[in-house]
Amino acid sequence: MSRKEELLAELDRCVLEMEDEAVTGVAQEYVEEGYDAYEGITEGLSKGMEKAGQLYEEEEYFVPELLICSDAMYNGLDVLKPHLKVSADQGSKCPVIIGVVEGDTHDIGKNLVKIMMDTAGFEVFDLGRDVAVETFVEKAKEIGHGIICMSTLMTTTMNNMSRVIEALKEQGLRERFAVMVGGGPLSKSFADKIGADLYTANAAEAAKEAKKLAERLLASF
Amino acid sequence: MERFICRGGTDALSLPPYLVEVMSIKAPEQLHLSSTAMVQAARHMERSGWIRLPFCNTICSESLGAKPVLSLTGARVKEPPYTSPDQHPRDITTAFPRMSALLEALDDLTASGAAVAYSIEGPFTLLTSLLPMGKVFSALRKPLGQELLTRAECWICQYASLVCAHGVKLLSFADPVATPDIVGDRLFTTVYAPCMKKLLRRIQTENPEVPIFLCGKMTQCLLDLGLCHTAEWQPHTACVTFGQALSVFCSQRTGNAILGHFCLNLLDAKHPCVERIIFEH
Repeated sequence: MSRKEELLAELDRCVLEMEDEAVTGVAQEYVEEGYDAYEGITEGLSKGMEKAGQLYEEEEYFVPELLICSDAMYNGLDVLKPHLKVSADQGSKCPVIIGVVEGDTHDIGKNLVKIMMDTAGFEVFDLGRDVAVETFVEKAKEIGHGIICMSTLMTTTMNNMSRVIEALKEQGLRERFAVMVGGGPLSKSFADKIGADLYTANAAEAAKEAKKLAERLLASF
Repeated sequence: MERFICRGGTDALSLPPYLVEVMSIKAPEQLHLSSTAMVQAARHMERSGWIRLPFCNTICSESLGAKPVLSLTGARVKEPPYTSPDQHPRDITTAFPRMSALLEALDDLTASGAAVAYSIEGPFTLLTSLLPMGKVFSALRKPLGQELLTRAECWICQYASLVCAHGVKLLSFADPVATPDIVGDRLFTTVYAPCMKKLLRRIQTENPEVPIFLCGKMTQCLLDLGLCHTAEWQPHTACVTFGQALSVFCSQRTGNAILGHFCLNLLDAKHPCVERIIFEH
């Protein structure tokens, strides 16, 4: 195994085994050796995160493990990102705007979806939790096209999702964005009723389905 | 014994929209910063002899530096105020307007003989309202984790003792972030459950007259993992609802107790008995 392969394997392991501090040293060594930062992300950090996601699906890992793995991944990314060469196809990625709708602060599910989306290669704009309708729309205007991903755990705030969709229509943005929804009290029938494009029941499925949705959306332009 | 299935979530503690109209409340501050409005709303929401305050969640977080967003249906912490555990304050503070209003409301209610059941939250929920969740769980894997849990235990005890000193008859304890479906059985069993048990014992010691009601979902998790068992208590006087049975238990009780395996959102339910929770050694 070459030194580069060793370091990639170590980046992968640091993420998978939740070494959120050690990962920065490995990433630093990787760039100091002059290896490609993009590969460090795709063949090292992301691989570890994909494995962590798999363990989460298999109920070997739970939310704490997945969050620490993602912290490790982001710590590694902080080191590698400044060394990325600008890629011609960067702009072709489908951006994702994600947030918990207004009135709700339960963001575990949203954070998991964000991690999975990041791992799947999406450019994710995380608006956080308790996000006002206007904030979603403002970000949509700024980004221009992509996927809007909303979650809530409370029945009392579910209707804020349809308010976002209505606001997108009013602003003439609906055709430029695919809308995904998820969260404890939601269902496919609710998603259909409010005119969302996709409902998924868990984070891993959300990222997989988002890829298909993105392909359809980008093809429609 | 029947399994407890949680159906209520936190919605039951929200202020119903009709009350907002009845009380002519236009801005959230009119509700959260006025003890008179709090008392009025709480009285409207009385169930089977018990009063619960729909505004008390997040006050403990606010007493530790969080900045909750106030709304007519409650208060919520939008983003954690700290990025690192070493930024946490040592003690809770009581010198802020919402706390003053709350304590005044508690005094008014209890002086008039009302039985107040007060909701407090457990260490995982409190810590994750103060720090990003990943940071909390990461710290729990390191030596710092135990210190963080001890700190949370102290804060929650300070807060529980404070509200008990203002006449609360029952403490309702929940920790929605800490269930095994979120944290996994291993962390729940080896880290969370011992920490919670220690915390509850300390609250009991410091407030021996006030029973603690453990959220039904949490009780079911403890039962599923063999960490506790229950003992049913039936009132000798005729009761129809769960709330009535709870009142009789609290009036006849000698020594403090931990109750659970049902839900304070179901005070009106036709369930005239109480379950005591006994932790396994």
